[in-house]
Amino acid sequence: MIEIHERFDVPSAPEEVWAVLSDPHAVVGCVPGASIVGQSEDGTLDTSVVVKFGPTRVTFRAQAKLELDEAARQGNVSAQGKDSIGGTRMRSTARFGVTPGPGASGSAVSIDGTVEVSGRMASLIEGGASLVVKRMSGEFAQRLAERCAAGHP
Amino acid sequence: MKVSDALASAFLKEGVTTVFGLMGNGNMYWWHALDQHPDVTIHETRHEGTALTMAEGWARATGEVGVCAVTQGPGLTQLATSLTVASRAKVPMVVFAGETALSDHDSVQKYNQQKFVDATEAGFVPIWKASEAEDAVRTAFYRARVESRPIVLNAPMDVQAEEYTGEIDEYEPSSTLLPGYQRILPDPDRLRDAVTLITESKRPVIVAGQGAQKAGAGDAIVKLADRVGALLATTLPMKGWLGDHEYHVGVSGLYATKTAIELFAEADVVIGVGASLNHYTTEHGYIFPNAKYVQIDLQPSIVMGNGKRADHYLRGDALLTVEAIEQQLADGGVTSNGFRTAEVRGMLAEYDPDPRDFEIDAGTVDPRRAASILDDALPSSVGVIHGTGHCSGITAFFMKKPRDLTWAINTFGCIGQAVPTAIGAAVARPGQAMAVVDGDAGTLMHASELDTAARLGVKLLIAVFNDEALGAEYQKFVSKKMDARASAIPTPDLGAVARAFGCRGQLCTTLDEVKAGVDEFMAGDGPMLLDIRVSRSVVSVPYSRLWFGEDV
Repeated sequence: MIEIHERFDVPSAPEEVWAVLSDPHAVVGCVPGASIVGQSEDGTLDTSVVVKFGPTRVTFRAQAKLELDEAARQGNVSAQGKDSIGGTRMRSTARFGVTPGPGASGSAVSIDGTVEVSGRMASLIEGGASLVVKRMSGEFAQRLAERCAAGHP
Repeated sequence: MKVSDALASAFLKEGVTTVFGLMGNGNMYWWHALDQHPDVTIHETRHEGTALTMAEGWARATGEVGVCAVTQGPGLTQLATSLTVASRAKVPMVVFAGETALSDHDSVQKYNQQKFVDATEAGFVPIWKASEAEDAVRTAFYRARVESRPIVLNAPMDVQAEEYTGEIDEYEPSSTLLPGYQRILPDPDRLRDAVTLITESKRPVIVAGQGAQKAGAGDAIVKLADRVGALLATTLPMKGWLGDHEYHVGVSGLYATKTAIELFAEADVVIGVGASLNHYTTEHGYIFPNAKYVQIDLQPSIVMGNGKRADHYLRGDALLTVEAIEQQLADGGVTSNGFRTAEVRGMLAEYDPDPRDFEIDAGTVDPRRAASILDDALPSSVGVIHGTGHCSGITAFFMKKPRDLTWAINTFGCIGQAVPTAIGAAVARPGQAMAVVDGDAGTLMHASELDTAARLGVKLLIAVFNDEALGAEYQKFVSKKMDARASAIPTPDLGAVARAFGCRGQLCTTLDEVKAGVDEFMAGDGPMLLDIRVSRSVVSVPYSRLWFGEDV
């Protein structure tokens, strides 16, 4: 089980950051290698994520569900799926939130969650997986900041 | 004539010329009888386990049945790891093992030897009575060849001491029972289906394993690859095989180069030849995300490392099957450039296995540069055996020269096997220089065999990549931000240790000293150890991927 605990500041107002984080298409756009390939009637998103473990690329298809608490500017995202070859399953849950940041106009974003990888990949990626997730989280923060700065969407 | 003499006579009739062993009262009379024969040389070692491993190295280098001799009880149990390694490596061997007298129930060395042998995955042939002695030897050699694994011939001391009344001159060796290897062709329908898939392929890759070399399929594989524009790759144990081809991309698996992995991602058909395509070779299938598989092997069926069977499994001899595929493609006028483009050629020519910069610790060298120096300074006629451990992930990437013999010792994933394997292989190739590259822990595990190397006078270079640590564990600790000191063990000057044993030896803390050491080895005779102090700061490419998630 890989834990995610990310805290980062975005130089945009909380409502602007929340506007991105509460829009599934925008959020997926901030995840490196991710895209939305479909949506079911209950609102579950069919997503595809290409993850690079070392030089090896693995494509995951995952069903993602987003729950939002507009008033508190908090949300839960849960995703589960398997890779395109079928040997590995992943399950992830994360809670995120936006609060006014340290600067006058900035925001602070927090993400806490877990990623579980089981099956054939688990031995292949060994300890490096947590570093891959960490790197993706960092890229997510950077893309989120860029998107907010550019004016959503 | 005693049974022990009859057993020795039967070993002679089996064609045995070379034995590795450690004497004890369970094998000494058999040993004495065999040693009287001028055509037999028995090499004494300092540990039973290393005797077994030397015999394994000798067997692999010669293609003959390797023979090892140990005494009963504790003599046999010293084989625990090395015998398991040889079983997993499927090397045909016969181990002569004494056993405490069947009538002696109180001996301190009494032991259930069959249970032990079963656990090592080797075969077991007991000698229960004197009259069975010759049949037992024949059965042991027969099974070693047919089952392609070590067989322990269990000889109780009281049975060995009995009189033998059989006609030893009439012994018929196991070779008379063997029909010989039969080269079989796959079902014609399956063959046609595979040819259809290969015909449609735009980006084929051929992965050759040990079965391909065994069948002598090298030239046929190159011919097929050239016809369809395939990349050539091997499994790790076959590292370097067919390596002088310009579209050879090296090993498939964790030890693949970054360029190879990027090209493999484009592959639409993988043709495995004499390779099980297990999870090491295919990274559980993830190294070939877009490929269908043709697999040629002799097993009845194989589940590959991705948990599936090949799209077209062809059960047959590697040489005949590859030739048949190539012939059908030729008959159909099929030729393709496949991967053979200027762009791919450029990628392969310009490739740097590891362009990263590391700060090198004081008093040590960059192990990558040391490996390159070894590779350049050792001619291609010098066989190179790679050990197991963190350093092997560096030497495997930086020692790229195609050689008459390249072995990567990784069976059972244990350290300590490489040096005794290399001594055995060097004995099998008299007059030819040999080199082994291993870590400090792996080398020190059986440092007493430096005595055997010196005594035998083999021209063997033992290049120790000494990071004064259990290198693999050290790097894992670092990746997890734990205190890595728990894995660090200081070593003495191993060059001085080697000299004390009668080898040549040198401590190397600069790259110039490494080069000078290799030159000195080549110029002289007998074994030589280079204690190359390497910087722990340099993390191998495989470990950088596995433990640090790096895209290298």
